[in-house]
Amino acid sequence: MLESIIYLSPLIVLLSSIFILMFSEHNEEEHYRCFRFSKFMMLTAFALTVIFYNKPLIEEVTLGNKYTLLFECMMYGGGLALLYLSRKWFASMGVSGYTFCGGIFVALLFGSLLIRSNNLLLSVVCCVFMMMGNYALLKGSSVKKEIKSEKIYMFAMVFCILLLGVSLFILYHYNDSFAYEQIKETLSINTGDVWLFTAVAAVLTVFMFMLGLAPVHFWFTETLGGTVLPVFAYFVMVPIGACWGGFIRFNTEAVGSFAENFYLFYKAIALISISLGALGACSVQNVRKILAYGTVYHWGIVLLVMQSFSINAVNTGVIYILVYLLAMYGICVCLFGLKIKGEYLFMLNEFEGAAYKRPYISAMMTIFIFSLLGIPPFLGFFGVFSALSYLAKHDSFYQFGYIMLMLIVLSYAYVQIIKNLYFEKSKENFDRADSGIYTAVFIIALLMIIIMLKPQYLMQDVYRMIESLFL
Amino acid sequence: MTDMFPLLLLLPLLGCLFVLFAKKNDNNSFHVVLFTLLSNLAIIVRLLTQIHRDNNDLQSFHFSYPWLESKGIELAMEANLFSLLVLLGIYVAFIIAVVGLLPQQRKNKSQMLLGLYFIWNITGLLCSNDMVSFYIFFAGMLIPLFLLIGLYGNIKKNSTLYLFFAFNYAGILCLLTAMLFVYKYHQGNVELQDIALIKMPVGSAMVVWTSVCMAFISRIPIWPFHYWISSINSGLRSSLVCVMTNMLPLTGLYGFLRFWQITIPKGILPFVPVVEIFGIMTMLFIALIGLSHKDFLQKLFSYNTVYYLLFLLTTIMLPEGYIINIAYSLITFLIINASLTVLDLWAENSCEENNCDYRGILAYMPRLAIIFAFFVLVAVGLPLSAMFWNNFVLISAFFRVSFTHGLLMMTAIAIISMALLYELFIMRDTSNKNPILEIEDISDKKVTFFVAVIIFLFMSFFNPLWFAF
Repeated sequence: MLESIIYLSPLIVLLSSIFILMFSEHNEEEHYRCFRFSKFMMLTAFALTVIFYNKPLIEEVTLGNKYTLLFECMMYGGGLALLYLSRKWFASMGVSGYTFCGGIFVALLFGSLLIRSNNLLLSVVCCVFMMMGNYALLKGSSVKKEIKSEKIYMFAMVFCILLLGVSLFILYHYNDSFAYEQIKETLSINTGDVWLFTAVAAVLTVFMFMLGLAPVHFWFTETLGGTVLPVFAYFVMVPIGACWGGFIRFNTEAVGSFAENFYLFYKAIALISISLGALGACSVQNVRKILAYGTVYHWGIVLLVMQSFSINAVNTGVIYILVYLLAMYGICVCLFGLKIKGEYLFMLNEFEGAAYKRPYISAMMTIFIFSLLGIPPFLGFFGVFSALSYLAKHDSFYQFGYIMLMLIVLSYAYVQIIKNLYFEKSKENFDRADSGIYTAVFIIALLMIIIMLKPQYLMQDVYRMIESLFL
Repeated sequence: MTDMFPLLLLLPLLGCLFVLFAKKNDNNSFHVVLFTLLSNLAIIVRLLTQIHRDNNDLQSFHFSYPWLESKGIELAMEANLFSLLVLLGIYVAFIIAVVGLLPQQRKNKSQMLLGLYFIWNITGLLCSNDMVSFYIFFAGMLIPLFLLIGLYGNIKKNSTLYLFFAFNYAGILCLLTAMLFVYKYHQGNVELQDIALIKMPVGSAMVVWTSVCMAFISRIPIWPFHYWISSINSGLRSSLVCVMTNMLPLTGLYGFLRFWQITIPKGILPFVPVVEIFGIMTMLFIALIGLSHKDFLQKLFSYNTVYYLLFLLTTIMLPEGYIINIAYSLITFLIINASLTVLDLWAENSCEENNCDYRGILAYMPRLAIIFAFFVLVAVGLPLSAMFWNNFVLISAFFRVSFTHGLLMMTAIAIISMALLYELFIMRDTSNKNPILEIEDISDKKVTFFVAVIIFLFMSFFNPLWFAF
């Protein structure tokens, strides 16, 4: 009993943090207290997660291994970075950070459970809570009073919950159990069953909705363009690990060989995401929207690569995700470092001449953008190299060519950001960035340099962690 | 001595680090760049001396870095006589370009940093001996070049800048395609000279070699792809950036030389006559454009293109034995190119400062006029440097292979030479009665520097490796 409680300690810490933040006095002037408390609690939960990574949080419905640890590290890393960066934003805006910190804890709590879950009911519950948490953050943080896409998100969320309910009902009807193992067995026997296909497709669609893959990407690109910077950073840093972790696990442990039925579905979704991501990024002037569309493009590549969910496919996809996340962490840090008269920047023209006023931050932002384009010697090269070599190895030449073509299209959008940073005259005075921004940029740059010099940390060690999912 | 070879790559990176933390609006970064260039030049000369002393042209220096062993990727670097000779030309050209910077430009830290980063990449490219490291350095060059052209290119059209980026980026992706296909069939990294030996299906071989060709052609201003490279050249007014952009085709040429080291791969053989025809047509076309241009830097761009295409056609049409002639020619060519760029920019700057006409400017600057005239005469092929002998050998070989090809190439070279000579005439022509009486000529230091360069070139007429003792 005591053992189980100890193993459950990361969740207890996260849950107690949520309650403490909920019921404590929302004092706007003492925002630093909430952030200090959140950082401490998150670090504690992270440490406990690492220590008990291979112990079951909840017997029979969760299973921890190196794979889950990898995705939890992604989440906690993003969460900690986000707390570190956004404290200043709340301080300068005079806004209480209690809801925001609580939102991150909700994401971490249900994200951890989703990654470790080997039970569909638990996964569905986690997905629902994560979506609700996301909605709460979106609702409470939009710059404009009302963003139309928030409402759309709410309707889509309700629709997703209904879809999940229906798929749960169907799958339970066939299995009398929600365990992944049991579902896998049933699916392998009834390979041609339309109802089972529909149920699995519904669950996968919800995961794709949460990831922001096309054609259900609208909330991701639209709302991120209008939200405040901490929430934008939250969406590109924190829930990603949980969503991908849960999605991969569901596919490998529950869908199994039934996944063959979804090859065409995945391919179509991936190619639509790649196209819409690249073209959408070129059609907007809002930097955050450009980055959001870029994310849709990159997730398209990940899905295209991972469609078979073999160990090599998952390994390639995860390398791509890691490389992308590191670059996005960097870009978010740089966005936190660029502001004019206390206002963080949205539109391309607001970035004009930033390189003359904030040369180091602009230079790092440029490096991270080039990294997203896969240009060596930056880290993004490994992602592009892994993904494209995987496709070439499996004779997927048309997809290979299409990714390249769309990468050139996407480069237009990214080059626009660099152009505004460097090649336009500065009209405004950029605010002084605090030392924390420079420290964060330095840490990310150092991480990138280490991985570039010793890429086996990324290419080999990640494989060993992924391997544990297939044992 | 081999131990010095890794320093060639290490020093520019260290230099970048020093420049990064150098003071703003100070000459510190300029001094760091100059010191790095001189140090690397000394290492190159020392390595060449070793080859010369051992009298072994096949000698090379190696080092490798086990980068990604699980994927069979070890980065192999090699410096041989050819790459060292080209590097020598590049480093001397860069020293000339850096010395040629105006006082205000010398204080520009970002220019110095990006310039040094470009130098690191081009050094790495010329020393790389395997597919992955070649790709890394080939692609890495785009970033500093794009930023420098954007910052100092005075490009008014947004589309021009983006098309330059997209065109080069597409070239990089083409090389990546070739690399990944080779990686697929070889199951690991491969040395450049072995690529042609890898067995792969006909379709894949076609993809690999077409991609390789497209990647390198993206860097060489061959028709119809010449526009994006030429369009960015027009507004450049920094000698360092000018020299860098003029070296862009060199990377494409070097790529062809390394990938087709032994023979032209079968996969691409049917397209070779097309490249030949396009190459020669472009030579003539660009030479005529050069003749019609009024801007000296544009004429120089045309001159560069004509010569780069001559070297490219040598790689395609002539046997392997002529490669060393390209190297000897390239040293002189790069130095002339950089010198003329710097001298023209000085002349233009004098015109701007004194608010006078560009026509006849050399008549008021006798020292600059003599030096300028020498370089123009060397450029048009008079027997004043190693370029004369080597071009003589190359063109006579072309005549032996095909009289028509040789004749057309000779015509192109004659036209572009006329263009340069006409420009020299214009710059010395005082018929427009320029009212200026006194324009400050170049300083003693600059004269001394260029006299040293002239001696270097003139001595190469007698022995191209005279400095290797």
